Amino acid sequence: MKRPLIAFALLLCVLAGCSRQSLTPSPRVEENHVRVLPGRAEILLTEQAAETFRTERFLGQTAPLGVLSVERVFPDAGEFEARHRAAGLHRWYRVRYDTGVPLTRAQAGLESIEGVESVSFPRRKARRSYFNDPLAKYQWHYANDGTLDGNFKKGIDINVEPVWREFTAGSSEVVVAVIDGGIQIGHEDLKGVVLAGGARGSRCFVGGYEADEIPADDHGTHVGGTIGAINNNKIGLCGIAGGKDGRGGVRLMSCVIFSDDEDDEESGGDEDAQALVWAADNGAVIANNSWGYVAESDRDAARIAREFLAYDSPTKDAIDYFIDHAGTDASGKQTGPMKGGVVFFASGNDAFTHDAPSEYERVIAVGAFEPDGRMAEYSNYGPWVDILAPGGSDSDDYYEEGIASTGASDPYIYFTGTSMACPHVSGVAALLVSHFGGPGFTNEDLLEMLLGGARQGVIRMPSGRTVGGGMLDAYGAFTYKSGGDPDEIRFSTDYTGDYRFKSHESVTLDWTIIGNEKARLQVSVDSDCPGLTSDCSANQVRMKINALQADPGDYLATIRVGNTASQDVPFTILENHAPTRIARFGDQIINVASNAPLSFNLDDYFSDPDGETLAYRVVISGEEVAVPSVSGSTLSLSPAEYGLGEVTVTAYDARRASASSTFLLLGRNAYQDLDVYPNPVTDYLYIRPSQDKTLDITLYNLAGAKIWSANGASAGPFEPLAIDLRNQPGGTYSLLVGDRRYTIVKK
Amino acid sequence: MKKLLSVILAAAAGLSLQAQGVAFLNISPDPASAALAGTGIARTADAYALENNVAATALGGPAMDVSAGYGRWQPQAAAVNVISAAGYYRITDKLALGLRFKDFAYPEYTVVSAAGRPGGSFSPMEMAFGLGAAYQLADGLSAGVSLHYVNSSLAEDAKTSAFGADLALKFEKDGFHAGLSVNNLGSAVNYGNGNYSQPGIVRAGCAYSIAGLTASAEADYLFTGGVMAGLGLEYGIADIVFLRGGFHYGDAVKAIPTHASLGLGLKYAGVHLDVAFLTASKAVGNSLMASLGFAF
Repeated sequence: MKRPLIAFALLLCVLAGCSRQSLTPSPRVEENHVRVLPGRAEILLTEQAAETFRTERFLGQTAPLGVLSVERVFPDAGEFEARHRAAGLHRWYRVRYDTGVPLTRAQAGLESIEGVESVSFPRRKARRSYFNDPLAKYQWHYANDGTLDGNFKKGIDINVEPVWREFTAGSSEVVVAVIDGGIQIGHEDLKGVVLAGGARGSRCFVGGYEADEIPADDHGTHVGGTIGAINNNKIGLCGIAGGKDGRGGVRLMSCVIFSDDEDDEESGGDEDAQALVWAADNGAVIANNSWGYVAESDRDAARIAREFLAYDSPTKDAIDYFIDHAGTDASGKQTGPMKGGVVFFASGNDAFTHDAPSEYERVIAVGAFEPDGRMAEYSNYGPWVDILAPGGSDSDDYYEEGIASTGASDPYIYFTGTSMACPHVSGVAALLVSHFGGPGFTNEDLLEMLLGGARQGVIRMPSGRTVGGGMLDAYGAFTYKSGGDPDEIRFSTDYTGDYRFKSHESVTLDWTIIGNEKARLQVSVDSDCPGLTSDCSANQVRMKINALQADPGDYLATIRVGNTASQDVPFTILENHAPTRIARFGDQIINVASNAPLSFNLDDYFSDPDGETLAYRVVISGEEVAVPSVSGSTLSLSPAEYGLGEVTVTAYDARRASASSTFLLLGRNAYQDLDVYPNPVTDYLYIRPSQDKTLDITLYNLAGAKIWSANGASAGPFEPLAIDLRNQPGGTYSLLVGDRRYTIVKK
Repeated sequence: MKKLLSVILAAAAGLSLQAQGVAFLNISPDPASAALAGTGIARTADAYALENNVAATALGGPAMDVSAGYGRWQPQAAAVNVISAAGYYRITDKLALGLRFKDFAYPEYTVVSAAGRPGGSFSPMEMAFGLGAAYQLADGLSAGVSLHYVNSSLAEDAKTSAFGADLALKFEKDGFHAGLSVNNLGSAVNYGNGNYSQPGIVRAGCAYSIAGLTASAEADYLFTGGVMAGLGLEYGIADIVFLRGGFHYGDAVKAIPTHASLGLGLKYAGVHLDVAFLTASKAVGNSLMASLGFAF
């Protein structure tokens, strides 16, 4: 938790002087301000103080601290009040005080008030993010539950999570041109997402660089991250169309029209026009333009806009070219996911009533709103603004009100402005193309859904302002058309497999149902498969197939929505294949004079054709020479007894089909190279070397008579030499093995 | 005599059906007879007469002789330590009594179970103690009998004991000696795994002395079917120094194997020291016997 937050604080310092667009200023926020809600405290009163508490008196006492209000945390609870008091809940009061008062002073001041038992500060809470990206919790603009800061308002976001869940998080088939400063190609959260410089890739249009050289820029990287930062990769944060498998979603074409040189940045050159045409000819179908022409005043802006609309210019022609030709080949035939392009422009950050090029009627002009649900003060406005998207607040106090995304000078940074709002719209457009795109899908279809699905009347407008569109709503756009047709029920699933399941598998199939809301109240699943269970809601069906509970064969599941629609889901449970033995263990020796276990990776000896994880059973017969244990696929044999045991390892799959392997396990003292046993002997005397070898052996009786001898006799640990002493009398014998002597006793 | 011998052989034949234990009874700790390749059956009585021929104690030789000895048997293969003591006393002209004791201490061995598990160690030990008497039946002819107690301890759970007897005849006339004995007739030993009879043996031999030189020969028949024979030669210088040598033949798998022997004896004022050394045998070569005794 601490690292990203510190990183953010540091970033703000870096950003202070580098804003070209409207950036969040960078107060040095104390770290504890990052973790607690500012201007709020919770005090616990003593029992007596709680009984005699008077608001006016407390406010008087705490006036030097700038206390604004005080109220019970748990208000009077009526019939439960007695119980609340017994639990001490009535002693907790919530205090709001001037946020300019330092935390330490507030704490000391409140603690000094008589009757205050303790003081605490409510901590910030982090909501769970849909994806596992650690910084996603700061991206209120995707899903705002109102808790990130005091004035945040629930639902003031682009409503994208339901789209991720039910439709798509972006397809790599869709290319978005980011016409801006360069996107950092090697950024950890953008790897593989930004197209490399070159044909059908990113390109630099400013002087001083090679065409396929992409100089990294904070602004361009931030805009690109909002659209395409990789989701579910446990790194950084989320992009609107950043995929869901950790490998990214839509692809970004970085078209560089700004460089670090200030003169270049404000140049009135034709780089933007070249970029739009390049993007159209090289596969992009969406163009994000978080830039605009510099104006000194509202009147100046109006004049610039008027001129742009009235006269031809390379930029205007290039915009037209992109809109008319993106996604098609030279003959006009659709080759991309969408026929025709869509061009988005930021509306500008000067609170002016006009802007160019965003005011051009063929582009989509994007204004900005803040996390409390108001249109941003800085956002240019007017009926030509087509849609509003999150741009953040330019509050000097709390950078969380800005937009968090990827950066070039530091990995993750906050920016504020319509520059940030614009890629939100581009990102949602990219999602729409990802899902609906394909032959016949046009830019007009896209705009119909995007603008038609926008929420009206949610964003509060400052007095006297109007805009021409609603609040960007990703889910609204996705359901705009289907919601408009009450009879249409549509089924979709993210599952892309072949519906052939191995006989041990447990599979979850999620289907999304969209369309007529009334009918969707009666969703059910029928199936002839005994291992299938389902969980149905109005827009979601989750089928769980436990193949183990069914015989191999073909099955059918049918999702029924009332009596009006159904979706057949045929699937097959494949035949089970028994595990196979892939290698023999070979006979083994275990050193029972030590504690060292013998270990085997059972994956080297057994495999399952179905790829199952196998279960194992180990039995030792004969002498209990070892104690077996199996952990995962590791067999461990702990030495126990001398002698010869037979170890049988049996591997089972989930259906209890099995394969076995047996080997001899000899328990002996491995520190000695020869075993002579038993002694005393009653019938056979055994001579067992530690490894296969030939031995010279002589056995004498006490008189010195040679009663048994062999030269070059072969013996091994599993084939000991046996000398028959059954007909020899009791007494002592002398055994010579090589030059070694043993006293043997026959009973 | 003929009849007696046939009975003994029949008994021996019967006994030989059974495997034989306490084999140490047939290993003589007497350095003098060992140096003469074991040809002691016709030897003039010395302290170890009960090991050689008990009947000899009632004929020639000193009136009393006692000795104590130490030996190493099969030092390469078995490394057995042998401690012994023996002697006799002629009470009258015709009657003599004798004693013998020998202890075989074997090297310690590690007890190992049938599964190969080591479980402590044990030092086997076997001993025999015997009493004998001989009587002169006629001039130059005597008979003797010796009884012995045997104890054998091979393992904690393999200890046994038994009683046995030796019967012997000796004849001496004008430097000619002849002897005959049947040894180790007695109860069986049992270590818990069946009976083993004592190592019965028939010994017969003769010797001839002239001018300080004594040649001796002996043939033995073991009840197990084994055959042994030996030739020995002793040369006494002034009745003080005795040089001895011999050659022993033995069945390689049933008897004390073939070997050669050398020995030296010193005698002065009744005190005598004898040593023997066996050689020319892988199994029993380098075996050594020594004793110190007193006779008058």
